[in-house]
Amino acid sequence: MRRRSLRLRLLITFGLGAFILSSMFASLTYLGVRHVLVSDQQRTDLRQSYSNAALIRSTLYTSPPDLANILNSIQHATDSNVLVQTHHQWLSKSNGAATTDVSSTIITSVDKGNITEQTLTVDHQIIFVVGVPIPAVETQVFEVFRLGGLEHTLRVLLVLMGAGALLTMLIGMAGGLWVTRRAIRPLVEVSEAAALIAQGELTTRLVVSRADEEVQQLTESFNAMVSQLVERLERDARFASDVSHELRSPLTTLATTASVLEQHRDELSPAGQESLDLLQADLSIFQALVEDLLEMARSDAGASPLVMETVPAIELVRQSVRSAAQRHGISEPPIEVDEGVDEPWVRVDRRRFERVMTNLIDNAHRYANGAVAVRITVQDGQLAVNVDDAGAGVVLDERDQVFDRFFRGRAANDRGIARGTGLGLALVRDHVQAFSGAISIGESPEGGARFQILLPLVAAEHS
Amino acid sequence: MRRTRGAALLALCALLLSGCTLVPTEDSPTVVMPSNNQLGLLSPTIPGTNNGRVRFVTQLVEFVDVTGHLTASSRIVPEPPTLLSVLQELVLGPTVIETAAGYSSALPRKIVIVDATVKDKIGYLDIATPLSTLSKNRQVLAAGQLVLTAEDVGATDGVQISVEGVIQDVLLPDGKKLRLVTTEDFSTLLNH
Repeated sequence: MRRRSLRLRLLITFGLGAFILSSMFASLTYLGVRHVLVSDQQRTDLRQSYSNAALIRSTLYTSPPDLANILNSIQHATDSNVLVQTHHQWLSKSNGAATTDVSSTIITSVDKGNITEQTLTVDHQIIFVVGVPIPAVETQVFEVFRLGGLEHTLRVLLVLMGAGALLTMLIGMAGGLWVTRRAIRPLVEVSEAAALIAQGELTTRLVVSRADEEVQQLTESFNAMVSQLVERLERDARFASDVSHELRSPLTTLATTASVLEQHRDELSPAGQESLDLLQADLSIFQALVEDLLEMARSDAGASPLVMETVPAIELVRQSVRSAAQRHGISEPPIEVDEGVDEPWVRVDRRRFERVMTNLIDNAHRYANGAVAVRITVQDGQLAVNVDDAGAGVVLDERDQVFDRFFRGRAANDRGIARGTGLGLALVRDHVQAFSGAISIGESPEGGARFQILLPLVAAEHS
Repeated sequence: MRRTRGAALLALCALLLSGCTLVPTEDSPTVVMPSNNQLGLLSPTIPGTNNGRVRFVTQLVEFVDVTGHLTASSRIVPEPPTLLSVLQELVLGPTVIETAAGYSSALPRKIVIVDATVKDKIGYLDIATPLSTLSKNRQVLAAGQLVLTAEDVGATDGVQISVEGVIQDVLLPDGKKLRLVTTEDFSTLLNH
């Protein structure tokens, strides 16, 4: 399973962490405050009930007819409703009181001589009912307190706590974003530098400026690693260049010798002539290999500088194709220019571009009996040069690999073709990339392979 | 392991959040433990008095039923019941339930009982509002309510009604007027 990006994971972690902490803090605070507020309210109401019950007791003892007035006075003074019961009958109640507020379970409990309380919901209202038995006057007093005010206070508190938790979560996420950006930036810089190095910008280095100790260490290690890598690449390139160079002289001697032998071919026995043919064929491959290696080594080492020119593309392609055909002694494939193409110009190194076309045409000649056409068109604002053949094509999973050095495809192996150096297409890709272009393999209209070069178009330059 | 811890934290968080309701209610009543600050409410007598206490008894008061006859209804009054305390219950009129059942009172709505005593089995009733302001039929029913209610408190030999000290002739069902009236004078009004 593919993991989410580090930035997203850090952001989620910070956000979730802040949410959990803030919500836990808010919940615990709310629960604590609610407990205190509710307990205090109930304690106050209970004491109030005792006082009122004592007042009712005195009234019943001294002036029973005044009971109704007393209950109404209590209602006005305390905003609670009072009901008085005796012998299971309601003796009196304040004007706002409703007998339905007092449940039978409370009455039963008070009947048994217990002071009883209960918080319950009646008609969508939270009420706190206190029942007080007064054996001295054979009555039970029930006082009903409405807790709407407390409920409102708690609702406001809950909203504030929720908003606080949400705000904390947002602050946590913002902090996470800031920390993530700060923590990720060095990684992004390393990634970008690595990408540039992979594209051939070997002079790329990370800049150490006011970095943290760990980041500074990472930067220095990265730079040291790149320096060592470049040094090794240069050493390898020098080695390949030196080897190629050293091989050139004996190869030239061998080629000259083979040429002399060729002049005296008639004097050789049939077996000798056959051996001479083999020798010349292998010498040819060997020379091509050394030539490619030398060019690649020069390119890698930067010993062969790019000479970029702005040139008319169609003329360039014509010259390159003609040169390639002459070089390999093969017939020149037709050049077809799309109707919509109108004098495009590109910026390339002319010598390297000719090498590109030579290698592609040679490749088509070797593996597909030659190119059927070189087609020029404009595609997405870029010049597309397609070298098409009518061969077996290139299987999908090899289309990227064929540009690797010394790669040999299954088709070449199956057909026993072993005459290539394995460097031609690698050189093609290196050169095209040096022109800021791209190369890919597709299918030609004839069913064979299409090697497509894409080059950025530039403005015409008239001297 | 990390996922388990994360899930546990989230579960704890959810549990705490779910507990954040408003005022918590209770399914059953809670008994408050007796303490010293309950003002002696649970004491069998009233603190500060000489073993003072109040008992209640049931007394009958008379109302007019749906057929226009007098009928008794019970009221609770402190013991010992006095003519004044019982008549004050009568003056309050029928309860909501009684009214719904068709009971009513013929007495003036704002009748004020100045004094009410029983002496030698005769009830002496002084009121501030004369019954003569009522229609004749209502006068008879109102007088009947007072006389029959007073009999249950001990005025068995009759009732004498005065308005602010002036003794009144009471209109009987047969149209006669008497100063001392008994329950027998109103027997025709009883709902047998």
